[in-house]
Amino acid sequence: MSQYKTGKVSIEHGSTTVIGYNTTWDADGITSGWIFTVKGERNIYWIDTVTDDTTLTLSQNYYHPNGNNLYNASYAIIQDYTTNYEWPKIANTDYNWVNIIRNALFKIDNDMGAGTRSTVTFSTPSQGTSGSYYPTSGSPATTTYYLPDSSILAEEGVLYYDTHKDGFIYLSGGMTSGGTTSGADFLPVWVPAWRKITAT
Amino acid sequence: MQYTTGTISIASGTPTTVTGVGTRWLANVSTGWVFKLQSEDTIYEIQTVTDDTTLVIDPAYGGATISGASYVILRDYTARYQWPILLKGNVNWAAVLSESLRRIDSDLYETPSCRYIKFVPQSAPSSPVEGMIYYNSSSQAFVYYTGAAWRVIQSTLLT
Repeated sequence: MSQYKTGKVSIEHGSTTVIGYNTTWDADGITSGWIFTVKGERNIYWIDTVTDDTTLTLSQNYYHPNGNNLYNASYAIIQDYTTNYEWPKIANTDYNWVNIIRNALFKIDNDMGAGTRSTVTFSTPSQGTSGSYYPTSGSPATTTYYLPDSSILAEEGVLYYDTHKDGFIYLSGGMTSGGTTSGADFLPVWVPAWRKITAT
Repeated sequence: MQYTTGTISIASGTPTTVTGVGTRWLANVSTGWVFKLQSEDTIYEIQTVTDDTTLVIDPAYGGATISGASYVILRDYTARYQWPILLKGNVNWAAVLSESLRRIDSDLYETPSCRYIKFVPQSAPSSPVEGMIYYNSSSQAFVYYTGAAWRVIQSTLLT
């Protein structure tokens, strides 16, 4: 869907109020949170409120590149967003698409780092292998443990689903020292330590 | 690069068959790729490449009868999630980029196939919501939020 470009706008430099000419914003369903931009300018703004067909406010002050008031200028409002995360999409004749896409990439970056997800499906890695860890002292000298497939990143905080063990497994921090001695027995703590989540 | 050789015609009445003129689809395009008319924004997916001049698309075409129309088939995708890639000289690039965003949005939300997730070790987030899970660096365990309290997920050493 293309940008909404009906009519013209005037805005005072440093103000949040946008006055429309021949605009029907309220009737056309222009919505708070959508992106607003002026043709030929680089900044993008977000709509705070749509007061009526010819008045809306931005969530930041409008700044004209030369410090002038804007009079009867062409503008665009982005109407097209992705379903779940509401990233702005573009069409062929859209204004200021570089900054719109730039904003979308920043939003993707943010949503990747801390975003909401409905479900996460872990794909099935191939079967892991047996490996050995070496305590720094004591006995046993080596002990064999199950290790995930090498495609799984071995860093603290990694979580994956193992089809061989039928469960979720994560890498805890473990200890940085070799272990403790209890009587004649050495009680090793291995580094790193893959742990399987117990479930009922 | 995109494939745009030849022209196409499609009848009205929601057909799924596209007929080509001067097209060589068998050797150049594949099932699952994006098909698009250059004159409209709708994204179609190729279901079957029947022969050099016949394609089956999904969804059905809903417009008026067209012939001699320009089209584009996207041939470049990322390896894992099949997001369309934009290259210099591409036509209809805004639609290509928007389709990529649509797919990233869907794939990220549903996360259809990830091999593992690396959680950043940290202490409890300050504004928890129900369903949140993180890896706690001091207890070295995963912790989730019920809406009322944090719960530590139990685990055993993997042998």
